[in-house]
Amino acid sequence: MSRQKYESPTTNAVGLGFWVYLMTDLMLFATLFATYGVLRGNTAGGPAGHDIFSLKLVFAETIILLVSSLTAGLALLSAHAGRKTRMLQLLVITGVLGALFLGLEINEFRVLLADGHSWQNSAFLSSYFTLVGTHGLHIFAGLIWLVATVWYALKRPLSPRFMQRLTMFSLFWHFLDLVWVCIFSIVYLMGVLA
Amino acid sequence: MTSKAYLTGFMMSLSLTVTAFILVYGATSVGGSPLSQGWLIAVIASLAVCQLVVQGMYFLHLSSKGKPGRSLQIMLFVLVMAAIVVGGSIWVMHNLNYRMMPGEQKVTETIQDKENIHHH
Repeated sequence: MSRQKYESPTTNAVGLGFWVYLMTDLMLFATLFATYGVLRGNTAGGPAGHDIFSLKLVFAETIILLVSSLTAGLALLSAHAGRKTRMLQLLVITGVLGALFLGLEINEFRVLLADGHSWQNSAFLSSYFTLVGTHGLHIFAGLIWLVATVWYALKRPLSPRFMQRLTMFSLFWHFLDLVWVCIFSIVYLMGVLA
Repeated sequence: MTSKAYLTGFMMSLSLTVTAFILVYGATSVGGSPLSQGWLIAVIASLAVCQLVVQGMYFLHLSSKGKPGRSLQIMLFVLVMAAIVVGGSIWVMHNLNYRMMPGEQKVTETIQDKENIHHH
């Protein structure tokens, strides 16, 4: 494929505005990480992270989200190259992987609740559900955006306007993977060790 | 940006994730680890930072050159604020817990003991 000149998302006002939105989202996650960091030891006699986390399951979630981040980026490249069918295929794969990630996460929550580890039981569990749940909510919003993007692209040609939307979607999706890397390392890996 | 760059970033991210997972899984589920817990946490934190840099470069295309430099500047500023919020909260609340241990007499004794202060 020919080398496409990469268009920075912040070369125009809309792209810059979207980037600033992502950074405010980063601050939202920073406050939730701070809350979790302060409260992770306050288990109120209940279970701590190493008692309830399933590392293998979370590792699978991490790999799934990482692959979906790759396919989202490759979809953007295909669109730049004018290969619409390939772009649509890659976007569908991204969506399926994202839905799989969300399904695994919901199942993880369901198992925790079934075992009696609700967010009402301790400050640790409250902060854990809030942090991981907020990320999951973002993934859900991203999936809706993705369905809308595919729907839009099915009916119309690849316009500059569409390219801008797709660029912003891929930024959003990569950003969520970045946040997940932090959750995987800080909440799960370090939680299992403590 | 080329698909080769995306694949490079992906392979690097994948190996960093797998390394971190194997280190922790080996230490907790398989058996002991040659590293102490403190070192293990430091290594995992470093691997996470490496992965954030890799994904920032190859997926988010952050660079200090040209106009994209603007997005990097904004992100660095936000990261400094995030570090203050996270680090400051944990620091302040840790000190609060330290000084608010139950029982006034016990607090004084524990702090004196920890700080090596002796009264006559």
